[in-house]
Amino acid sequence: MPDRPGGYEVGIVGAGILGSAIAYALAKRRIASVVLDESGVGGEAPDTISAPVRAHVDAPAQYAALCRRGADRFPALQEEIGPVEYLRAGGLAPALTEDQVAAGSQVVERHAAMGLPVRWLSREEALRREPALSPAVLGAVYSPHDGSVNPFLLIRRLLSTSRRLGSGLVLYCRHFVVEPRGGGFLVRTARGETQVRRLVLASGHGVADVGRQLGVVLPLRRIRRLVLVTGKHPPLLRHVLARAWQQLTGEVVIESDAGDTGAGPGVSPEEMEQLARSAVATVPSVSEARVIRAIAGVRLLPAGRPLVVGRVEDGVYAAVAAHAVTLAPLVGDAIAELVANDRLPAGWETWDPGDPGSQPGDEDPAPVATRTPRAGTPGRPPGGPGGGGRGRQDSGSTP
Amino acid sequence: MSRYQVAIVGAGPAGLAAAGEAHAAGARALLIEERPALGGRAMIVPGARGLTEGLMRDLGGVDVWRSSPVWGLFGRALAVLRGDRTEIVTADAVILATGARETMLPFPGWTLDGVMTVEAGWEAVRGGRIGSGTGPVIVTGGAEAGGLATRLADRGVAVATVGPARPSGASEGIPHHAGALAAAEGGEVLERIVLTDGAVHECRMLCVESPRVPLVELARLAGCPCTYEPRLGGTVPRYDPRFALHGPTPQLYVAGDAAGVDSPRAAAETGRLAARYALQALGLLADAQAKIEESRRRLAAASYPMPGRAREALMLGAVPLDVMETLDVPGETVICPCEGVTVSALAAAVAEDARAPDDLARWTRCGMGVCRWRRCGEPVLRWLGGALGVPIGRLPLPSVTPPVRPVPISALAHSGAPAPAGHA
Repeated sequence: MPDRPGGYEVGIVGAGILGSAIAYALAKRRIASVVLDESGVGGEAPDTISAPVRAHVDAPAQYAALCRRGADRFPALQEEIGPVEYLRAGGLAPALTEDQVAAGSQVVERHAAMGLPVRWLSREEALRREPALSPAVLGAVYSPHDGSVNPFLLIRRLLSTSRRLGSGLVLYCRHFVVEPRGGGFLVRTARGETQVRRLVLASGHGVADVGRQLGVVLPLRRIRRLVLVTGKHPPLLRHVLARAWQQLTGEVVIESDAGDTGAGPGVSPEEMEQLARSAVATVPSVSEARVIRAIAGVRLLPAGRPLVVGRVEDGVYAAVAAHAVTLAPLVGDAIAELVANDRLPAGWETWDPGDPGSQPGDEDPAPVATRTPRAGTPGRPPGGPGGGGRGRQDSGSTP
Repeated sequence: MSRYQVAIVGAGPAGLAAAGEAHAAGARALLIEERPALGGRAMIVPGARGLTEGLMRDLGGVDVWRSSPVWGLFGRALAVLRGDRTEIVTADAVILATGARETMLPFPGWTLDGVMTVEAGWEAVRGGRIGSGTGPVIVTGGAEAGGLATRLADRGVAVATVGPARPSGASEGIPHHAGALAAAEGGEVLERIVLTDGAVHECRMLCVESPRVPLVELARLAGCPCTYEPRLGGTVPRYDPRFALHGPTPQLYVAGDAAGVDSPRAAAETGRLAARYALQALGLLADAQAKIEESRRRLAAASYPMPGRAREALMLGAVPLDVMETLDVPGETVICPCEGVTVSALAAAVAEDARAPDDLARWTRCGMGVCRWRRCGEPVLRWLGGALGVPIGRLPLPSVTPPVRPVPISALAHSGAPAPAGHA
């Protein structure tokens, strides 16, 4: 554990995209933070070397507007922290059925009402923009501000820039135990202990677990996400499609959410077949590309809303988002503003509290987290300070 | 979807022997081989050709699929690339006899065109790609390197050996340069090598005898835990005294060099034994106990002493001793050829708290290329162990996902049924 006299102002749990963006936003304000993760960087995130930056999403209009603002931050962010393989290729969501045409038109209308530059392409326009699309395409939603980025490069650059500005990073800190101490929190792990004044739960490994130790249940759900990655392929796709795109480095990524299934971590041949078939139905020429990885990953999402960003209780904040990569720069700023000035930045207050995707406020009818009776102060694990072999198992057993 | 009683992956001595046993017991059996020809390494590197050809004669009515890479193992279902489509094969028992691969350890210039393992050198000889017109060749290593040098000299190739001592088996007339290889140099193609004492030798081809590393991807895909046992060639799957893999799926067996690198005859005997245990479990083997005991005696006689003892200990559940390995090469040396990742790029990642191969992959793209750690996995583990001061067996292995061979999307989406509309 980095030995910093007096500990850190903020402890961030989760070295994923949101955790690192929060560390970076805090570091820019000269607020010292330490990022902690039970595993390595990126935690349980699926092992793709590319992720979409979506300026348009099929979600409540204000959330869509946030995504657009997040996407627009990437060029400047890349200037600040260094190249992250960001490419604003434009996004294209092809419709192959009449139902998809109807849904796409609604998406376009909603975005147009917000003044967002999302428009509908006719079949001919769609094929002209993206010649690899199936001739069976009926039209497409087009969003010029969509793009893609290498999420691990993004995390790495955010973290290394934060470190240069004085923040800490501790990976593989297993046996994570948090307890209130001295007006802040004492974080004990197998790699030592540190004192922090405030705590940010930023997705990644163990958020639910740490939340439970603090007596907080975050509204989270786990989504199974399937991904096929091909080897480097000659240019095939120009745009970020709804579920397929090509990286700057040539790999084609094909993804799909497989619902809240409890199936095992491995990907089945049937799942791979279905993913491959639907990709070929949309982009016939992708059939020549050779798959080198099929991944079944888990995405941790807010339940019943696209975004959880806010104060959970005194000194504890949470950040979980459906479009974590796209929103990372904004979420980082929002948490930093909350920590520094105890309020969300301008633009976030306009959120309609009645909306299921609402931002929490003090009178919020749909609170960001539920308080549960504290399970008891975690017992000190045997083995003395910094040991902690059984810390987590002990946490619920003290009367 | 095809169904068999016994499916065997890999047609080297172990796979051939296992298939022969399955046939002798009357089982419905399938032998799957990635290459166009049967025999595996034994047909390429001299020494076991007779043994292998004998085993091929015993195949009888076993179904044989050649040129058919297995890209996945799901429970006891094998995903096999056959031509332009995937076939799923299920079997009551699966025997993995995937062999071991000679794996070059990086040194400066090892990725140049013309630098290869001794095994690859033999393949070039067998494929008729080497003759008197081939530029100067340098071979370095032990007995197998010496054998290759002699064969090349017989073909009229200008060949020399390099090493601390003349490789055994290299004929007298072959020039030998005493010294150790430091680097290979050239533009795109190999032009010369440099020894540690600074001596330079022109060459167009360099064959480096390298450690043989068991191929364990399918076992790992099946959820089998592995252990690092240098006496068996490195990372090997854990299996019980019946050669059955540990892990969630029963009736998965391992045999041959994939279970630990040993002699070709020992590989054949482990294949025979694994098949006999599998057939016994399926109730297909008459007089099983006597046959198994006979096989065990033959295996003990055929094994080299060190791997033989290590295998016995592993089967009984012994945990091998911790071994420190290092890979000491200049920082600018490429360690992951697919992605062009250098040792200093890995060092920078470790300085930023990367602790596992998967961290290195995420930080640097190491291992993310088309070979899926096959070339860089062993070197990266050695280097990382050395860099962290951690015994190699205590490092987490890189995660393994299907497909373990590149598969065209068309071969994944093989079936004729209409695709679900509107995916993207």
